[in-house]
Amino acid sequence: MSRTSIAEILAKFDLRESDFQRIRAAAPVLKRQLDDFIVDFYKWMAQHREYQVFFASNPSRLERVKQLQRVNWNSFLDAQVDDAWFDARRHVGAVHAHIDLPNEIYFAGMATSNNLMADRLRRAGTEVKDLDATISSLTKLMYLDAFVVIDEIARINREKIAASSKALMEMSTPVTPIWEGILLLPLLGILDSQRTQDVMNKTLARIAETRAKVFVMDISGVSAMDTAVANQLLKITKATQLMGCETILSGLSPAIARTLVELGVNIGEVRTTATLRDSFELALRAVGIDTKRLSGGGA
Amino acid sequence: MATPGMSGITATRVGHCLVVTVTRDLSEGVLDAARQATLEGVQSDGAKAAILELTAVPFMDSHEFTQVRAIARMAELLGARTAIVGLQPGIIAHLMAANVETAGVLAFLGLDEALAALDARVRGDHA
Repeated sequence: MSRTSIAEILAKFDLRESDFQRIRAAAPVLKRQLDDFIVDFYKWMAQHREYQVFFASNPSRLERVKQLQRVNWNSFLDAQVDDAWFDARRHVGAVHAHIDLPNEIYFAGMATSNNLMADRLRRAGTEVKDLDATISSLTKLMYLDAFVVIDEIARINREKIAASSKALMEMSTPVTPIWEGILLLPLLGILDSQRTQDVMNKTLARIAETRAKVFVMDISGVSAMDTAVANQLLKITKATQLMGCETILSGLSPAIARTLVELGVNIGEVRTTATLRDSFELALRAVGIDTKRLSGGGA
Repeated sequence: MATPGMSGITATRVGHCLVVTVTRDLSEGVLDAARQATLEGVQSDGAKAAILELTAVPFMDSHEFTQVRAIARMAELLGARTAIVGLQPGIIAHLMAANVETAGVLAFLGLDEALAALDARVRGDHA
């Protein structure tokens, strides 16, 4: 994060140098009581279901987290908000995203920490000057800390979603060679125009790569088809013809047959079969393989 | 016996087949030259088949494709089975988006496939 954007974000949270100075002035009081503070924090945490989930079966993890928390609050109270500070908070976010910590317990934990610290400052008496302003500075920095952590968790989750939707897109068009010169594409689910465009591009690339002679497109798993999508599929069959590759549409349902006829498609141009088995037989014959001999006996 | 083209066109005879190779963008002049080389080649050599080889053509719009298809149909009228070879996937995707008519077009990815298929068809016609 650059210097200017740190300044920008501090301005948004209304954090000034005077805030940091107040926190630093009060820091010795809080640092002295840090162990006691952490004990109180886990007393609170133990009342909640998440404690069972994350710590009950794993006492060594609890010790490690307490240790990390001590380091974290020490640097928080030093109030040196620079690149390293932001990096450390983002790291906390990455750890929380990794264990899938619910946001509610994280926010509740930050609010509790804020209250526990404010209580300790109030009890410190004359050692803390300007009590109200110090508590308000502490709260502002607490909000900034929580924001950076949650923002990192959200960013990691967005990345996960983008990666999995890309994987899903890849999986949705598996154009696979099943025999010398034969490509098969089983289509499942709902076809929209973006997906048919993707099918077209992948298919043409695969034909160029494998020099396939026959392309079998199995649409038995397609739940619904409108006329626009049917048109797109026919365009794919035309496109493959321009690469010297014949397309066979297989798995036509009665409803899809009806759509094609009502579209006024010249069925003579496109080879279609009701079952994948029939398509495969046509495909094998088109690449010059005797299907009777393959089935053994050849009566 | 290749005819070196003045305008990016080369016509070569392979067996019964006339191969017309285009090595440039299909501007109007190039298309005219390709048409002339194909039709004159088929007529004077008595070729039974013709191939329009377009592997080196980087871009093609729907108008140019229609012109290429017209050349193929003219050659068919002169009695030569005609195939288009080497259309790039990107060009095809564009042609489909532009809704071009492709009925009756014989096309192949590479020369090998086209020569084998045309040879079989020519033999079939004469059997």
